[in-house]
Amino acid sequence: MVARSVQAVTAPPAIAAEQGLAACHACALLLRVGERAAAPRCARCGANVRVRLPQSLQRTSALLVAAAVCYVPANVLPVLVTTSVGRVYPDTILQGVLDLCRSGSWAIALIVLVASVMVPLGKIGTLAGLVWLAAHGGSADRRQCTRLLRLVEFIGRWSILDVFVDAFVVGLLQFGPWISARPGPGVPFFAATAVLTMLAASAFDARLLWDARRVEHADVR
Amino acid sequence: MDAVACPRCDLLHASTRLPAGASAHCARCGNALPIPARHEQAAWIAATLAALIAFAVASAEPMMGLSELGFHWSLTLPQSAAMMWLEGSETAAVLVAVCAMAAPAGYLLALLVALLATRSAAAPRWSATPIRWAFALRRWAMPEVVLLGVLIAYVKIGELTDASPGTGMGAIGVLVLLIAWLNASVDWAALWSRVPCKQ
Repeated sequence: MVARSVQAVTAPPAIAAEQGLAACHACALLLRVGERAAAPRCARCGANVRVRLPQSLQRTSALLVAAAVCYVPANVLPVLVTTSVGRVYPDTILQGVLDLCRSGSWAIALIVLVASVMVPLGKIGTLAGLVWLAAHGGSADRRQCTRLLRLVEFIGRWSILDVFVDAFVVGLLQFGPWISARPGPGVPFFAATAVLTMLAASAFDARLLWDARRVEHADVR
Repeated sequence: MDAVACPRCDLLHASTRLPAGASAHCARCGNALPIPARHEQAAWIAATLAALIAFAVASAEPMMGLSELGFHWSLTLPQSAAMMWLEGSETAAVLVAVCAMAAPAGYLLALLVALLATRSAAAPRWSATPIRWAFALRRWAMPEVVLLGVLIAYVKIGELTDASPGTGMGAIGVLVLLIAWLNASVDWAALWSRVPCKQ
């Protein structure tokens, strides 16, 4: 969809938080927030209005550490155990990718490799970098950072892919000792990595990336 | 107040009514701004209804089936979640149940209620609840990931035995297209602009 971009800039550029204003995180209504410690409720949707998400960087980091810890067993432990004529094949994610390669399904092998192995690592790395930038400042282009965060949110869901693959393979391959499949011990860790990185992305408040910087006219295009 | 703050960088912008199909972007970080545009709400309602029907078919009809040793076995979406639970992988079962069934169903139902409630310019105050629900559930409804998972499982199983695609697979394909269109076109700011504020 091609959308026309409309520029509606206030001059001089002003930051809501510096004007005593806060946008409701649920419905985007702009509200005047006083110096009160208690969060006021949004007049339109009733959500708690906060100038910034509370403890955003701590929460994001905690979720990222948990995701990184789960990432190891997710990739080391088998996620799918196939039994074929009495022989048992416990497959980790990477072995599943190699099997797909061997049978000639290159494109699918690549999709699984990207979605299950590389996307979680990329999400953890990118969010960790953004948290570091928000906490310590730095000269990185904030516009690109915001774009990167949107990309992480957009791609994030694809890392759950292998859980769905396993659910269908396990559900269908049920022929007792001939051919059967069951989920391996890596599945809960794999699922946890995907969910934890999604939660980490939503715990991160992108406005913190911009807070350390003074608004200058040069920033506003 | 006719101003909005960029949800990603907090820069203030003047809010003006946008023409149909237009969207406003932050002058500093480039993120979309919550400024409503003129739109055709009936199209969203129609697409939501169609998506609900596609979802019902995708849940009730088998995704794929296979024949082996004289047995015929087929699998629906709820059955695949149940099998994961029975095979001892409760986490995966819950994830399939939420991301493939509960979240899409909840998202579409809440969106339908929200769209119907905000048809007129003066929407009732309770319409805030379905809009919030729909927006929160949208992230966890991932039929496109489920569809790719089904297709990959189909290829994997096809190497071991003969599998055939079911009606559910086609239905979820339709659901993916409809939800993708809804995600790209529903203007949340327009829905919110009709909800009255408490005085």
